[in-house]
Amino acid sequence: MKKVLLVMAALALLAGGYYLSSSHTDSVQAAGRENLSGIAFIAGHGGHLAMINLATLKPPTDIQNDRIVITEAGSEMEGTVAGIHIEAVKRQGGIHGSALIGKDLYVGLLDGSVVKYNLDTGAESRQYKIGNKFCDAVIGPGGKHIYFEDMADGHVYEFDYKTMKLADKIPVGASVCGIQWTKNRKYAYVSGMPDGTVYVLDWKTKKVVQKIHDGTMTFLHQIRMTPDGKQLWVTCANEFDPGLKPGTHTPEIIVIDTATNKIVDHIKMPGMFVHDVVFSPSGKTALITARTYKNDSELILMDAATHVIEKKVSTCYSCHGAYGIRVRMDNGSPLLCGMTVAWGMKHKPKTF
Amino acid sequence: MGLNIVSVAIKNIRRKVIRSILLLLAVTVVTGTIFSATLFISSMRNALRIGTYRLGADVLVVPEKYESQARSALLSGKPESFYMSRAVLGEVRKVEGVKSASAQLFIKPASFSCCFNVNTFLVAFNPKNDFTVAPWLANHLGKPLTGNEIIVGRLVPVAVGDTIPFYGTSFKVMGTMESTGMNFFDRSVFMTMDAAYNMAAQSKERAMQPISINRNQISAVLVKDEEGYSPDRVSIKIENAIPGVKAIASDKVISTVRKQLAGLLKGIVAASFIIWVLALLMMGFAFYMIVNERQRELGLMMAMGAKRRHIFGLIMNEAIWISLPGGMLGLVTGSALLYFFKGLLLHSMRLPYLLPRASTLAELVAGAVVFSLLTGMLSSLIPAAMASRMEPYEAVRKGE
Repeated sequence: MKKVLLVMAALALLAGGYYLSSSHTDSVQAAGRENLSGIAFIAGHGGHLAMINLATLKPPTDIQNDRIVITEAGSEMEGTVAGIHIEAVKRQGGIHGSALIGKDLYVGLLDGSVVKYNLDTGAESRQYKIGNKFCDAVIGPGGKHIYFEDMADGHVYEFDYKTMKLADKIPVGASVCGIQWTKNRKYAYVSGMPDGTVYVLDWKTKKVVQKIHDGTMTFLHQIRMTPDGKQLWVTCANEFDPGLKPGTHTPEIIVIDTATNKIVDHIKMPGMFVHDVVFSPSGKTALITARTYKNDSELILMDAATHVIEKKVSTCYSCHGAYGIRVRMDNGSPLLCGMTVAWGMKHKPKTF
Repeated sequence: MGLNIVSVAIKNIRRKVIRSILLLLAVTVVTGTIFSATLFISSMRNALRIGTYRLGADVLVVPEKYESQARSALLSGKPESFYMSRAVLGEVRKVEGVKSASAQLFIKPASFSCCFNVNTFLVAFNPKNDFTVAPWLANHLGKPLTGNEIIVGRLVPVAVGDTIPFYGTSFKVMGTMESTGMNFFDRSVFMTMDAAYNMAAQSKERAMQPISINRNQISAVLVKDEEGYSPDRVSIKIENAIPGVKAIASDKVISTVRKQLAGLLKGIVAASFIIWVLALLMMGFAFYMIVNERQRELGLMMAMGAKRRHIFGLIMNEAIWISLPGGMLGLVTGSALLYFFKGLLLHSMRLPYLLPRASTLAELVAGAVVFSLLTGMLSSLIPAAMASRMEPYEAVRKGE
């Protein structure tokens, strides 16, 4: 009997281990992981923000409470519902990045509009059409403006969130996705997507003074400065090669030394089409959003020093799967993009 | 064989007058439609280009609530009066990306006047820093305007040296600007800011319908951008820095109109294409019938020594000699239709219009003639090829 129980226990362990390793919530290495406190808001092409409590890292599973809907871009609804032309909303596209100021989330849409969403009340502003196709939304140095990077026209849009008006429109490249600044605010880094180039701008004149590029950077997304300002992490999903041909390079994160503007590291991320990085306040953990181009996108926790992946959290399929939702846009793959974190926030905000 | 294909072709055309005229009219309709539509669109584009160049400004700053009136004034020359504080001019000059700025005052003339009742638009400028009218004055008048001197647009029916009254003040016409196609210039009267303010001040005593404008009021600020700054970017910066104003980038006005024109152009192209295909089919069928009913004649010609290329050339020549006059007639009728209906179209579209320069016109005319010839040749290509491949004996027999 004992033997049978032992065998069953061993089988259960094996099954459990197999489940953990194959499920969408992978725990690659849990030992020594930093304890985090905050709520991550991850924007997606479907028009909603997935919410993940970083203290528990539980994948979102509740369609009502684990997401904030900004647009119905990925909706299963069709035709006209409550006076809303769903097809027109779908054509408008979903969301790509957001910036949190106080309790207000400023969300950039794929049609170049901005929407303000209040986390306490759920109040959503009208859509302010200012650009063409926004990627990231980043609070600028001094906190006066939010900067939206435009993938369609290559400009960085400086948005005054107090007046909800555009303050400047800075030409950079052909298609840009992310922006970060040096600690002394002297320079800004902007990622150019199809040219795989990080543009360095003199922030006073807003002119490009340097371009950082190497052969493995073929398609970039968002970028993030480490909290100490010494390194810039650039997500290179490399889905495409130059000329938007199918990508032949492994997805990776490029690390740039901001003192020399030289590339100092390539963190290879095979199969993980990295899109955004956020560092924990201590700088020990890098939270990375990545697409799989299958039926899920993931939040990846990485030790920022050793580059060891500590955990992967399903951000889409955990919820879609629970409700039997089949993604129909983007060739059936839920595409997550930019992430913003409300550090210290204990509970997910109530959704409306 | 001494066969003069051209003369035989012309004789054949004359032999069936009604049919030939109908075919010719088909080419006329197609060529006329396409030529007039192309000329109309080219003229509007030309007017926009010249008008914007004449305006000389990259950005036009107006009171926020009057954006549509300002656009309307600029594009259709509709007289409008709106004012804002002169302080805006100083504020605009401080904005990053602004190279120079100059104020203008727009005044809608009184609705009635004892002696001069013409639909004009009064535009006052500062001769010291203006870049809209001042360059023209420097080139054509050789001196700045002083006192109650004015210059007028091409469509204002006055002559140099005339004196015309506005709000009880008489102004002397010093010059007439060349046509731009934009009513903002062609129907406007330009005077100095000083003259305009004086006219307003004196209107209380002199005019039946006084006007109230003080020296602290302006209507618009015209802006030239610094190099490296786009009009769009400068307009964003102006709007952000100065509350209550709307900065209109001139290239955006044009791009909006161009988009409007592009829509119109698409419609015209689609309609023209349909008409062209119908004409091709109709003419192709007609030539097919011509070849069919003349099988015996063509067979005999071949039997007498005419080569395949002669038969092919004969049919093609008939097509050419129908298409060429058809195309010419199309040019004339298209131009006439445009001339008579232009006013109606422009009134409904409220867009500027100026015929393109002679070289462009010549290109359009040449293009239309080539197009009409191509239409005829394409439509007769298959029947001509069929005719040239006939066996003489079979052709004579079938044609009996």
